[in-house]
Amino acid sequence: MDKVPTLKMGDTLILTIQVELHDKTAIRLQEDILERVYDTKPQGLVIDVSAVGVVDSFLGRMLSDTATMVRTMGVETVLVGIQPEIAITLQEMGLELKGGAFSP
Amino acid sequence: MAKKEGLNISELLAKKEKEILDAWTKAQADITAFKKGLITEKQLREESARFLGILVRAVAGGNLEDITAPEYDEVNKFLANFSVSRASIGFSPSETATYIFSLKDTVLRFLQDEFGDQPAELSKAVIGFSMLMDKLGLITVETYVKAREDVIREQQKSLLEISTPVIQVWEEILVLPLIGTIDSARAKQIMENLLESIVATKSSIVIMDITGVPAVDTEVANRLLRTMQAAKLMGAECVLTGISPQISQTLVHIGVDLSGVTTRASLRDGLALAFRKLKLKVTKMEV
Repeated sequence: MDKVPTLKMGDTLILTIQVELHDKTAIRLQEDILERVYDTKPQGLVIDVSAVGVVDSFLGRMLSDTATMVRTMGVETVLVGIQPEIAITLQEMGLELKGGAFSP
Repeated sequence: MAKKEGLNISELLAKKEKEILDAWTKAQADITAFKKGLITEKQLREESARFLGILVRAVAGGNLEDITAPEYDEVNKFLANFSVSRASIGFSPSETATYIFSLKDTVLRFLQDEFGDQPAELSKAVIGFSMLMDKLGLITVETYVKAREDVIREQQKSLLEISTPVIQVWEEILVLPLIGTIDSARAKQIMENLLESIVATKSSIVIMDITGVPAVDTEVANRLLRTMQAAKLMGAECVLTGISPQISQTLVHIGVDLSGVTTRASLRDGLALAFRKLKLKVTKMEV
């Protein structure tokens, strides 16, 4: 997997997930995101998941964890582009994004 | 029986003290480190003469077994001092122990000359004397190690003192840079230092920087949290900084709840936050 495409707009780091994530790539992605946040020092992080069609429990948890990790580094996370079906899945799995906020 | 054989040895030692000393000093000349210039031959001879004198007096009663007996007090004291002084001038423990063992070799040779024609007496004397000297040799090693340990303990203590500095970087802002592993002793020291500094400087913001902490586990995290809670009780707000990607991952994976704590990635961010909270602004000077 290539590095995640990121875009820094002002104080915000925007990050789009454009591939289907498997467990392994998801962990790599998480490390990538954290490194990027550490290097660019944004005020906020936007993760766009509109291209992600399937979210399983592992991925849901990984996103939630990432937001918390980014939060410990002093940056707020907003998760955008959640498909209705994914929202339902996340809700049914009982996952909540403790470290960040959602936006449609 | 034991009494008799002990007396034999002590008599021999007393009788041949001078010859033994000569032979012993000569034997040491070949093996000890005084070739390295750590000690002169004269010093060595004086030391040996003193030790031999003390030893002769100690074995005079015929006791060759119990070195905790009062007559060995002086021997033990001498060996302790000797071992410590040797250690301080750079002798290795084996070199120090060899000092004693070389006396054993020397005396055994004299024993052989003396009791050469009585094998039973000889073997008894040899065994008894060997055991005594082995015990004394062990004492030197033991004191050597103990002296070393004292040094290490001393250094640990001073390290503890210099390793927890609390710096006032601005009015009301304290920085606590943490470097190295945080064990319970250090955590206690950190907390005490911090709380005292908060009172002394009337600070309202404390920045704890863990950039230099190589590993954060639940225990370390809990200690930090406790310190922060204590600081909060003193009216100072805490900011935890220096959280690298790896540390943030660890913290989340081990499930440490940092929701009540303000955290920042770098000390710089923490300082900026502190300035903002105190309504301070850093601007470029207009010239």
